[in-house]
Amino acid sequence: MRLYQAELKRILKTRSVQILLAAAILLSAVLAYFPCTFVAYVYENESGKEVTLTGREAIRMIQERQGQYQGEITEEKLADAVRQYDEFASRYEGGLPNGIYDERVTTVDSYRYVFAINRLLTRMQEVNADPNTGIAPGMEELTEADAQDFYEQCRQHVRDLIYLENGHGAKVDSAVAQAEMLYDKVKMPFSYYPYISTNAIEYTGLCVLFLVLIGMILMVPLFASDRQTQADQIIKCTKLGKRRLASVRILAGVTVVTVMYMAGIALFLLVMNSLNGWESLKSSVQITVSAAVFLPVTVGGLELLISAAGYITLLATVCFTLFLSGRMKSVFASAIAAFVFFLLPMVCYRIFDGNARYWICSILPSGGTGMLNSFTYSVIDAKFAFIGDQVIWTPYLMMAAALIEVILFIPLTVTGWCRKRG
Amino acid sequence: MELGIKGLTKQFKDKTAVDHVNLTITPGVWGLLGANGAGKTTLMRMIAGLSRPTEGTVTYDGIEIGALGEKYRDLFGYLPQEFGFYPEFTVWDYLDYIASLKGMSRKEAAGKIEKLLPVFGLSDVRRKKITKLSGGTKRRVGIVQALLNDPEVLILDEPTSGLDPGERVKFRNLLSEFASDRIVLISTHIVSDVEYIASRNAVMKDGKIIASGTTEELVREMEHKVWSAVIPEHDLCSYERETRIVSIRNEGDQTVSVRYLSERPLTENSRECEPRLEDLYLWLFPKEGEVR
Repeated sequence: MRLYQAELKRILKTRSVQILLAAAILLSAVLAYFPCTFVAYVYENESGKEVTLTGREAIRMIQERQGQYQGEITEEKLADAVRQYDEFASRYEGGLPNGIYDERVTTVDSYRYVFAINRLLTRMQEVNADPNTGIAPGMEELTEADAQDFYEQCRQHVRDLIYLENGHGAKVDSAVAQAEMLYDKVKMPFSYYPYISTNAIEYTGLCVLFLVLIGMILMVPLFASDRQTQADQIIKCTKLGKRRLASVRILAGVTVVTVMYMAGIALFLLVMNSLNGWESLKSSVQITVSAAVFLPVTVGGLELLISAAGYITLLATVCFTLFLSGRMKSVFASAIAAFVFFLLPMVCYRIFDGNARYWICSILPSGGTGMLNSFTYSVIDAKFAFIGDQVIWTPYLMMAAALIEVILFIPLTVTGWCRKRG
Repeated sequence: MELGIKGLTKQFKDKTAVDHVNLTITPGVWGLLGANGAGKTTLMRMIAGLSRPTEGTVTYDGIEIGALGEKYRDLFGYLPQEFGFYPEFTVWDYLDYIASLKGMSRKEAAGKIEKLLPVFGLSDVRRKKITKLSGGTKRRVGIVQALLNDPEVLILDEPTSGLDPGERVKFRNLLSEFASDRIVLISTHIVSDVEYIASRNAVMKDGKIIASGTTEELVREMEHKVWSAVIPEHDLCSYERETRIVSIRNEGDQTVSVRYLSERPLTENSRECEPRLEDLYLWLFPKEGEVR
């Protein structure tokens, strides 16, 4: 305990650590504010003037005007939405073949008549997409019968989408079976409580990315700086300066990044959800993000899941960075190597394609975070990695690889620190 | 208590830094003398367990130090030639941190630090950041950390570099007192540091121990080889070419008094002098790159 406290004090006294911890907290708060700034609502005031609301005010207005299209999204509500849209479209001569993007549709009208039902209609378009091309029908093509079949069609759409993205065959059948098993647990009818958008989910992933990056930077010099300054010459000759110090140092480092991550992500979720409205967290992911998400969670559950997965990714990245730090003779070399491996999944995602892409991006320590290759996108997409006859859903693969890396790199870091130099 | 070094060798690519060194180090102060690059630091690093020998073993009371592991490091104190501190740490923070690595409780550490700081004149800088200290003061902090755990084996690599003469004397006295029942190995090329306190000395050259023994035994080697003479100032250069001049003092009247090393007197008026350890050192290491 004494050594742990001493090590913690040493880490926390370092100026760069203090700056990075402050940056993590600040960044989390700033990022949390962004999703809300993208929300806009346009209406006509009593004097007939067009008013554009943004941010928190827009969200409040959306919540007020959502009307019946919230709570449980039953087939009846979906049918009402179809009717409302048809009625709106019929006001225009020849209907609205280009939907609300028709030049005759004013912004105020699109917000007044379509905004509240837009999300429901979009999901109906999505699930009725052509199984061979993935092209969705236009809103004007939706019928009340589509609304009645919506939930049945959701299941079919999940199946179609997996076949469309992965082709046909026994392995893909197995992927479909996995997806359907999860999809059977999705609560239906879906729920929707305004206002939360995919931005909230994406920014949660982005916040995780930045926190993992800061965690990695924090750990880069942990062992390497001692080697660079030759402080290790004295330390390694002390009673507890080898195996014990390495273990305690890893523990202290993990404590620092854990506290940083927990504080950062908690602040992020607190600020973001306070701005979006806590009730919106009860919304189904299937109505908020995509009907094809086969994970049976609400938006709030997905936020927590992304945060938890982010923590596991952070641990894997940190343990790998510590391993590099324990083997490198300079902080610079350690930093370069850590950055390369941190960016590698993002680079590989762009370079590789298909199965190789999923494997490489999932098994690297920081594979759980990134821009397009992250856990966030894997969990909302139908991405599967294939090996032989086996099929693994990529979020599972990412987490399994990360846990293995944590277990693997801790002893390797200890060994790296203890090994004698030439 | 005995530190056994058997056939210790360290090979770096094309250079043998330490070449089959055999030494049995018993309690007392041991001086390890040698020019820069003689292999002293490499030898010490292997004794400290920091560097893996290419060949040979280091044992403590007959047991290989690697096998002793933590037990060996518990009774060990080491001051390397070059070492780093943590920039944000004060002297106290650093010593307390090292004490925790040495397995000392907070109370035990505080007591020991309080005791050692005044001895090394560090009381006034205890709350100062180490980065703000002078080279000599940093060195003293390094010495204090090595002494924190009252080590049975204390290895000091160039401990007095950067210390002023007063601090040097103080340090030597402290070490003499400390070493009564412990092994202290001091590597230095400042011969006066060990001349009066070392019970035994080992001289290293090109990775090998070329002489070993008590100061008296080693100095005896120099009997009839140390001379002093008064010579004309204009002859000084030719004498310097011919022999190793240890010291020169201007006597006025265009003459200088020199102390020199030679198998035989170079002038008729040369007087034989009492040899010192430094004379032996200069005899063995005449000039850089030159092998006697």
